[in-house]
Amino acid sequence: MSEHSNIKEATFTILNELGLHARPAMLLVKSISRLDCTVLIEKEGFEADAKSIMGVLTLAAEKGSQIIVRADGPDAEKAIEAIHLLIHDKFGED
Amino acid sequence: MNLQKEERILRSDPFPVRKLLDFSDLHLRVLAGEEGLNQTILLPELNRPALELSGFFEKWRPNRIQILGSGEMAYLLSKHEEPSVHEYVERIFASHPPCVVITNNFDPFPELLHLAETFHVALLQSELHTTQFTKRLWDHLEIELSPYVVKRGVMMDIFNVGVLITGPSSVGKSESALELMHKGHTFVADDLITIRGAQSSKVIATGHSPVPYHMEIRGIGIIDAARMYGPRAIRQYKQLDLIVSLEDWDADTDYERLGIDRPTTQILGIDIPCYTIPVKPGRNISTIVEVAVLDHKLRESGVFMAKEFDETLIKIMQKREGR
Repeated sequence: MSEHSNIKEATFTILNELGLHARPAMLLVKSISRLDCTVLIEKEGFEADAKSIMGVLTLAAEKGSQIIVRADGPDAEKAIEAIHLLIHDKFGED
Repeated sequence: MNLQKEERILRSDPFPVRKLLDFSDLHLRVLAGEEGLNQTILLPELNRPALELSGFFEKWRPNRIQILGSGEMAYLLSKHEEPSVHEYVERIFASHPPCVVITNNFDPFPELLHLAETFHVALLQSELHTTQFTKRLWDHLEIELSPYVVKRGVMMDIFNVGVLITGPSSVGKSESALELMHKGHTFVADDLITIRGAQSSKVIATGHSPVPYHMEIRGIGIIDAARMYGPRAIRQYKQLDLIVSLEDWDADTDYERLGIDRPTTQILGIDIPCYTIPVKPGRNISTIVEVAVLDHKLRESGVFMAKEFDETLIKIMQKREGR
C-alpha cells in the first residue's frame, strides 16, 4: 500500500430525467479527463473507467440509480467534486 | 503566430475567346474575325439576339456571347438584304460582343463574314444544336469564370465523396493519400488545391499544379501517382463534399467525442461538413478518413449513428426507471 495513496469515494444518485445518456456522459468525461487521477464509476457491481465515454454509457445509469465514484491520485478530490457538481446540476438538463 | 490567412477569393484569369477552341466538345471552328479571338469573355451568360435582329435593342447586352441558332439564321437568311435588318446585324457586331457563334453548322452569308472582319469580332461555327451547345458552353464558362480559392491539402475521391484532407505540414497528408490510393481510392491533387464555386450550390476542387498528380513522400521524394497507380487511381477534378482536418494531437484540445453535432467550414459561401481528426503515432489515419467518409454518407442518407445510439440508450434507461 503506497503511502501516497489518495483514494476518494462518493455515492451519487442520478437526478436528470434522461439519465446518464450521451451528452451528460460526455460532460462527465470531459470534466475529469485532464485531472491527474484514475476515476472509476461503479453501478450494480460493474465498474467503468470514467475517462471513457463508451464505458460510462455502458453503465446506462437511469434517473434514480446510484453510482459509486472512486478516484485515486493527486486530483482525486477535484474529480469527485467535478462529478458531484454535474450530477447535482442535472448536467444542465431538465 | 497564426499564418493561416483569411479565405482570399481570387478572380479568374482573363478568359480569351481563343480558349473556347480548346473545348473539343463544343466542336467550334473559326469562320472569320480571327483578331477577335483575343477578346476577353467576362460573363458566362449567353444571348440569342432574336429581339435585336428585329430591331428591339432596349435590353441589348453586348457583353454576352451571341448565339445565332436556327431561328435567327432562318430569319437572317430570308431578311438580311432588307436595309433595316442589315443595320441591326451591323449594330450587333459594332458593339463588340465577345464573339458570335452560329450553331447547327449553318453556313454564314458573306455579309456576316465581312462584319466579323470589319469589327474584329470572332465569328465561330459549331455543328451542335443550340440547346446542347449552350449547355456545354455554360458548363465550361461557369467553372472557368467563377471566383476561386486556393487551399493547401490533399484532394481525394473516397467512395465517390470528394474529400479535402487539410492540416499542417508533416502531419501526414500525403502519406494518408498514398494509403488511401492503396485501398483503391482516387487521387485528385496534392498540396495546392483550387476550389471553384459552381451554380452557387457546390464547389469543385482540382489541382493547382501545372504538372498534376505528383506528390512528395518524405524519404522518397517526388512521385507521380498517375504513373505509379495508373489512370484508375486519378481524376482531374471532384466536387468537394467533405473536409477532414488533421491536427497534431493536443492534450488540451477537446476533440469530438460523440458525433451528434458536426461542424462545417464555409468555402465560397457554401457550408462544407468538417471533421477534425487528431493525429498521433499508432493512429491509422487513412482508415479514420474512410470512416469519416462513411459517417458522412450515412448522415447524407439520414442515418445519424450517435443520435440513434443515444435514443436507444435513453429508451432502455427509461424502461429500467419504470420497473
